[in-house]
Amino acid sequence: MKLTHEIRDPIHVFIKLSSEERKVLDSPPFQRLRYIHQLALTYLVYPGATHNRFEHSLGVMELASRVYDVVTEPENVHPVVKDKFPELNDTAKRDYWKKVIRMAALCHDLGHIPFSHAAEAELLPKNWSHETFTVKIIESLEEIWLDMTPPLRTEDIIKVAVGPKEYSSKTFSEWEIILSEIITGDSFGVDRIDYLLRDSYHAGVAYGKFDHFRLIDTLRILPKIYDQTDEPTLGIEIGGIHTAESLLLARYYMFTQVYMHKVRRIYDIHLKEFMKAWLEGGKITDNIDEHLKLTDNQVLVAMQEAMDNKEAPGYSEAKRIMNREHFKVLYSRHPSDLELNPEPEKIIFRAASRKFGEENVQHDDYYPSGGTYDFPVIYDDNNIESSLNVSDALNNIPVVKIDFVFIAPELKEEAVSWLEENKEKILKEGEEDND
Amino acid sequence: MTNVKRKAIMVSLIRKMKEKGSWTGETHIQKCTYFLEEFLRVPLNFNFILYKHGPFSFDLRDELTALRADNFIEMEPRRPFGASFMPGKVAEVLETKYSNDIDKHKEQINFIVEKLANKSVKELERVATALYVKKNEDVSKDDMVGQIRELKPHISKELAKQAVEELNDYIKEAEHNHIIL
Repeated sequence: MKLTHEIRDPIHVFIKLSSEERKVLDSPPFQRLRYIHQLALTYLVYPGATHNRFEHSLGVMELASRVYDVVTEPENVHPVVKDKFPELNDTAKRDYWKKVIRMAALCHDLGHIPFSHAAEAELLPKNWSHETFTVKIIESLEEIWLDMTPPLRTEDIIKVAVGPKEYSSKTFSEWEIILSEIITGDSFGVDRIDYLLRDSYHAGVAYGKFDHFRLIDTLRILPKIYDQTDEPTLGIEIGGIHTAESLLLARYYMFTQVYMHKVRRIYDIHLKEFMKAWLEGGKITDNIDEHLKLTDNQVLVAMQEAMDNKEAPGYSEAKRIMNREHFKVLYSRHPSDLELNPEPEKIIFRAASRKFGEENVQHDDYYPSGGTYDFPVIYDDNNIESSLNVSDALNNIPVVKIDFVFIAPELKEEAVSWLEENKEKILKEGEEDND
Repeated sequence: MTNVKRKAIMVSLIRKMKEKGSWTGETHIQKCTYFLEEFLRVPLNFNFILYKHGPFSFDLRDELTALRADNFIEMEPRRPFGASFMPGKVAEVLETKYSNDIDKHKEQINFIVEKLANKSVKELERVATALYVKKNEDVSKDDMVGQIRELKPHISKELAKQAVEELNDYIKEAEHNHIIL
């Protein structure tokens, strides 16, 4: 594969593509990503965070390519893994799957709605995720896949791009699972590696930085011998364990300091409420052509117009965003509150809504997805252990959880006094959460 | 079932598994939950797909992380395996508040813990894959063995056959005790 096109990138310096790949880059669905902010309205808190899904997708392709080259390099392949995957022992197959993983990485975010994740949970059609759009858009690009040398199977690209969780109607081979892990994996997914590096660079915070060069050089596909299976999983050489710790700590800090920043979170809520009011039927359409026409630009123009017209749908939310009149934190969870009630924030949210009116109170909670940081680590003597038995740091990274109750700024003072007086009583009395 | 009640049932399941002496790794919890939901029809509403070691739910994986975030469960690494889960610091707050909901499913939880909690990962993979095959189609024993081997080629014919027989014994016992909801 001759990589003849070069694109400058602030994180990876140069990203190279072949002429065949360039066709994907130049396609309208991919060009649309220039107009989808990577971090929604985070730029209202961190002014530099105006970057977009276009550059992130290029970065993910570059990293996927590097990781694939390292883990399939014959001298890096564990004997048990070598026996399991014929793809590793055949040059033509290795080259085919390299093209697949590069295209899957490039296309993995094609389905994002305006402002990425900010509003998708409530705006997408029932049982849809942005990956549902991604699948359909990759299918729509089939002519490009078939025109490549050799032609790529559309289903292979989709499987590797979105993984088994989001493409659950299909059965994945172990090889396909590994390739999708390279992109979307909980511990070393290149999607994660790129967004941490890129978001921290643009936001101007140092939390997201780590030695990704060393990390990638030490990644290996390893059998999980320690849990009594030979299941191949993305793991690491012992020499890379500290860079793995750095990556996962970087994630923790970026979540607590940037992604879950209280002002950023309330802007997400105001944005979601605006879009619910502005969109026809309060939802994003499931029509792909319509979806592809909608970017952050249309939403921003609509907000600008709405804030000057009291009759416009979403007027008050547009005004709160454009004039920085966002809601303020009334309550954020304290661990000791859980000893009084298993759902303190919900109880306080309901009580505050009754007291101050539903339109003046918002609740935001976030639970992280993914599991423990359990991956195989291989020592110099070829012994393989769980990372959780190797690294105390990994065991002690807290699980990020946020819970905020927000109140309209004009009511904050009164609400804070009310909560100070009544919090314990509200939490103790609680209420039954019925079906 | 609301999310918080589901959390209470999950904590109760983990507590029972631990009391039984189970390792209570993620695979153990995944398979016990799969049987609770798909076999005994406890309406937990996790979405299972065929993945590593047989049926697996990404929703359940996320739920375990959420339970850790709230200190309802804790994770502890132990050699020679990876993570082991146990009830956390404030588990009892949840279990006490939703004790009626836990009691409603007590028999089902006890049955599953008794049968599966102390099995190895490989044994769990076999019997859970047998249930996956059974769930999808009304198939004969031989067909089930064939399908298990097709999905998981590393499982021998003999062990696949044993898993199917074991599952059939569970079905008979659960039907006899009227605990399938």
